[in-house]
Amino acid sequence: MSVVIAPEGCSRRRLGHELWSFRGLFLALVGRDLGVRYKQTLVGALWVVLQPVALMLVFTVFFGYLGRFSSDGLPYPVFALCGLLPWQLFARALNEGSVSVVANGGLVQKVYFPRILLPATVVVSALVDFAVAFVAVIALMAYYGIALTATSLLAPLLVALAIATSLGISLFFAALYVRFRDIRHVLPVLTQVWFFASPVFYSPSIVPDGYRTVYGLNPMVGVIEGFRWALLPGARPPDWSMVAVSAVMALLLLGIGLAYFRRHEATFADRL
Amino acid sequence: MPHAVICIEGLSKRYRLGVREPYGLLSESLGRALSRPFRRLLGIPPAPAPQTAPAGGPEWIWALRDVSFEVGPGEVIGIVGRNGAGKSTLLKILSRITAPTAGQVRMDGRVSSLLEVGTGFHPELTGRENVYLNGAILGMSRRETGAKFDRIVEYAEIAPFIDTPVKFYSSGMKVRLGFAVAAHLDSEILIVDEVLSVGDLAFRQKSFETIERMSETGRTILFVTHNVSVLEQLSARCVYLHEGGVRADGSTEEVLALYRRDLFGAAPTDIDDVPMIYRRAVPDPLVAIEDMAFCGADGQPADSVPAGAPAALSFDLAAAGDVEGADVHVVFFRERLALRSDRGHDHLGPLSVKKGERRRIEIAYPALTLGPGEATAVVFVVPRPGAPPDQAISPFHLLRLTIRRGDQRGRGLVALPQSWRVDQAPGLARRQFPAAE
Repeated sequence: MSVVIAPEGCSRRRLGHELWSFRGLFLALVGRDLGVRYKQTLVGALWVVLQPVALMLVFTVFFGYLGRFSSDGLPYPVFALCGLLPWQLFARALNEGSVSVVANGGLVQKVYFPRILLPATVVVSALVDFAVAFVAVIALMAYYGIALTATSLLAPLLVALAIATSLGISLFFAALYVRFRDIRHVLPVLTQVWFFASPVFYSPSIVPDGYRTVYGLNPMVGVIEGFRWALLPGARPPDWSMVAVSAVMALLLLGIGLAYFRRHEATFADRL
Repeated sequence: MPHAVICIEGLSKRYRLGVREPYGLLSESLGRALSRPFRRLLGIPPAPAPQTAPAGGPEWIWALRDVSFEVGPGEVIGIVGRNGAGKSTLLKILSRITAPTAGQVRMDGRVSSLLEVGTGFHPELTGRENVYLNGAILGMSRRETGAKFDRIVEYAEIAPFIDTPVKFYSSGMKVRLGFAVAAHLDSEILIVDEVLSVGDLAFRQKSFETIERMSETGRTILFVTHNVSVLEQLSARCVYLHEGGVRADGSTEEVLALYRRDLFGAAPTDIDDVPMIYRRAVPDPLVAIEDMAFCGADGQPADSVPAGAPAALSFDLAAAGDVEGADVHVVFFRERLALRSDRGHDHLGPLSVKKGERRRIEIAYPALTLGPGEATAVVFVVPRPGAPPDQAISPFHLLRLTIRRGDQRGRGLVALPQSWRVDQAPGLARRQFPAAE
């Protein structure tokens, strides 16, 4: 086994091969993330379910009951929870992924590994949470007598789209955050704006027709609408051209984020 | 030298001073960032080569410049140099944490680097969980860590607390656990930053012995330490970095001698060795000590002798006044520790010299049984046997000596002449030891 270390830029190692050789560390980092999160809490991993359910209740009271938002004929609680789950997956991966390199600065400065493992770790542990919280969706659907259909098999595809989007942006921000600490202040604002620009507590049908293509540029529009449609029979079928725009945007963001991150990862240790 | 396993060629690393400054604000450098692609389009050259760069300019510093050396398989090499000489940068490049600006490194074999003890330890996780995490960080597979787990815990001496969160550990326990994981790495090449100075004395000794054992099993080790006696004992060869370049590369004794000369001034110095009270000036001395010299086995003056070889120390005493019943002391110091103290009284009886007379004293050592390294002999005269050094009636005369490794085995401050044998012992073992699990 031979290693050659050469100046930055000259040694583009193959990412796939490298990720595979660091799979042990990746699993250990995911394990650390999951192991640490609910240490010293009373109900532990139950929070994974409690958080979206609590928000769902708030939304149901304020938007569903008081605000009378349309839920396309679905029971509002199910409608809201099906929007919240992919949204929370996205928001967590985005926020924690963006700070992951700086937050693990000690590791970055003392150990070599493909830095992409850090945002990727966040994605995987957010995904585990998502899977656990999904139990709440199933339970709520059962309560309202909604059965899963074959279209729910498409849900993982939409989840993958949410991950691609959040990973793309968090890769870009994680690299940028190493140099510019402004990112920490940008993130909450961005998340908030993005939340309102995504059909989490409202139906995309309230968006006027003329703006739908622009609206679809937000990949989370296609993701959430598609996710609802996949899980809930009787949900409004999504505007497929909008989903296509969302998918293209998601992949574009992932590509840009990945390229930017790869370009700068060699200098992370010098700039932290 | 056999085929080198680490081959460093023209390695240079340049830091932009601005980069090391506090991170910029987005708005400040947005303009600069936006203009960069256009500059590139216009063909403005990127990073200039080391030789042509404005190295003296205020913007850039060369943490390393044109460092080249090779390391053979099984070599144990110490990297020395003052703070800021580039030692850490070199180790960071070898560990692939940062990329060089120019030059390249080739390494053959599985490389592990240990720049810090217990990297990535999470306070909320238990000792057990952290062992697996730290193992993964150091490049061990989960199975590998599992197989070594019991030995790691035993080594760290924290078995009762292994399932306690690390946040409740004392700092010593954390360090022991961190080093224990690293001690069980079995990669062919080890890159170790100053980690031998962690923990209490007993653990330091243990970690030192671990590195020594690793070196004996043919591992190639490159390590940085400020602990000179560790270098003297562990590595036969040192590389001395100064202002980013290789100032010297050679045998540990030679390189350390040069390093000390650079640190403490032109003449070889004894500041390291001799405590203050043996270094103070004595006003109006009655006796002067002159022509002090060490001789090797051949009777010629020498400033270095092999450990365990014959040697002699000689000096003249010149009396400026009558001295009656005085005593001569000869003390060997190393790093402020008196290795050996002898009194002339025990060998020659009371010393009496009339004003204006000289005496020549010669001490023959059939075997100079000091361990390898530097030592300083201090000679002084006290007015009567048993008087403390602060009553000295002569100046403290210091003479520095390098004891080479010679054909001595083992290590330590002194060499013990010895012979070993092994015989059949009568009877059976008194106790059955439980089989290892």
